Amino acid sequence: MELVFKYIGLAVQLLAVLVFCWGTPKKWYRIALSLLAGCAFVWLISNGFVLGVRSLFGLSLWDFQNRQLFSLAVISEGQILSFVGAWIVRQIRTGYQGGWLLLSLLFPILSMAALLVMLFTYLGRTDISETTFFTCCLLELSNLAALGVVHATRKSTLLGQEMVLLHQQLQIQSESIVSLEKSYRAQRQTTHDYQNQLLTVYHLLQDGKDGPAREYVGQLLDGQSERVFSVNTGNAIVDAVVHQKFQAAYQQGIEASFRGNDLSGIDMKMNELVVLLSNLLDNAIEGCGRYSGERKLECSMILQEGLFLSVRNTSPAVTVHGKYIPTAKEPKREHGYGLRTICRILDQNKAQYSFRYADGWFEFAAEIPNERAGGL
Amino acid sequence: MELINILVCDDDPVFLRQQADNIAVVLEKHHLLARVHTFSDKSDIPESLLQCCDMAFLDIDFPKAAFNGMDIARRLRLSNRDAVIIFVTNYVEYAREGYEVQAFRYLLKKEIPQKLEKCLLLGLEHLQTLRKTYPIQINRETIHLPVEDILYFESQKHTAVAYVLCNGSIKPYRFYGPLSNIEADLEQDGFLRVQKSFLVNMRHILKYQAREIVLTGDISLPASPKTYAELKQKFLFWKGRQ
Repeated sequence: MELVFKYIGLAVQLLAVLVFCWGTPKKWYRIALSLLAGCAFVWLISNGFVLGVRSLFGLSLWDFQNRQLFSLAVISEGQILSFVGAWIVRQIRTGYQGGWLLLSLLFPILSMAALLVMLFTYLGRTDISETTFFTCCLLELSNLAALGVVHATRKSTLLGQEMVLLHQQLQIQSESIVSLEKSYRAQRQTTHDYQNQLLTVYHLLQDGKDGPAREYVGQLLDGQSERVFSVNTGNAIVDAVVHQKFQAAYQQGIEASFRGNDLSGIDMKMNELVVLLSNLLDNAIEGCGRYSGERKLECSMILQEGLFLSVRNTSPAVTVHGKYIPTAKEPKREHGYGLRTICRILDQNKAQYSFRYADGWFEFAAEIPNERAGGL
Repeated sequence: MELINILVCDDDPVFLRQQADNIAVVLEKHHLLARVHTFSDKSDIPESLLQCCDMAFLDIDFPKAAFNGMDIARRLRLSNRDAVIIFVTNYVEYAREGYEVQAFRYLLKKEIPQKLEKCLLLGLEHLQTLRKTYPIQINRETIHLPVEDILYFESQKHTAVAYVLCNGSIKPYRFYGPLSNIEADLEQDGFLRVQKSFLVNMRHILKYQAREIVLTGDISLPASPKTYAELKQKFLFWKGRQ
């Protein structure tokens, strides 16, 4: 049995070294260094734990080796802990953040404490019982199960966030299609009506009916309720999103304006840009909509060393707690994700950004690194 | 009260006359002294007028001409960097060229009765900001430094030095005055104390990093990393309000 455990333990340590080194850039010296570091890390944790237990229990090397099952349980726990340590290091490298890290460490720490308490009860005896030994083994193995559960939960949460993002993108794209289709139909109708109107004005003038002609033209002008505008920044995505959102803003009586230079050099991912801009403008329109005073929305996008993005809108007073703004919306699954999505995209793109409410305006401003510098 | 020169340019002579009358009504209402110059062809606009023009209302589309309002705006901007440009149009296009010529506002022709007055007054307010000066004393003589052209102030022992853009070069002006007083005077005008010895004009910031700030003319100044986060926020919000 001792031999079996010895080989299993060796396999666990080898796996721990591989996990530690996984993802190292494929250069021979980096791999060699990584392997060395991995072996040192695994050896330190495994042997460090054994030494720690020995000093805690006041056992000499001879006493420790004489307690066969006890020493096997402690050594295997040390090996499992080295695997857990290597796993945590690997996850930190791939972007595990505070909460998930703590969750990953919780079970190993508690199981280690439970194991030590169990072993402590056998301190005065020659060795632990076989039942206790197998309980220790099960506890050690359950560490691996717990890591697997935490990892799967994290993946599932990330997938959920991606799904929400995707859902938002699909929604935005559907709205764009509907908006484009509406514009196209309206344009066709306008062209058709324009010809008829011109003919009417022509006949009125030909018949010398200046007064009725003027009245008719006046009616036509009054009938043009929809503000006509377009956006031309050199970036089709920005043009489409801003145009669509500004149309929505005008329909709600919001005075919207845009300032931007040549944005063709933005190298941010298209889907992220769409979601970021859409969420910012949606939030601004929503905030403006609740304002009883002059409804104004100002959007600036300037590409120079980086991409400067600002959205400001008149708004009722809002409290900003760091990155959290209490939402006035009805609880709906996507709404809470709007601001979180904005922050997530900006964090992923290593942007510097801030929100604030001052002097009747809600202001958002960000500087997003961009490889290609802008012009104009 | 200084005389304001207002340029109005549109290819429709009827609209041009109407626009000039509308502007005259607003000027009279607010007791503003101004001369309104109307043109329907850009080639008729004399260079001397472009140089002294304070505000311009320009149509963008000139369908029968080989030029458009942007061309006039570019020409105006080359001759006069302070002029307030307002595009008057049937169809607003937020274009990169508008940013290039620093267009102040876009005004829809059908919204003129409701919005012209406010637009004009805001434009004049903006003009005052652009032409604001900061007075300093050198050898008992008062010199008015144009705020727009000041790159930064540097504190050197008991004196302050203002570095000002002048005809393409940078001219230093040394005078007595603590930097903290200058900061208090100019904080509302877009100046930021990036470090104990430097008060910088945010208009001229090209790059702002934790330890370095780069200004127009590739001037590099040290920045304080301790206050970087707070000041960078201030800079970003200020930039958004411009």
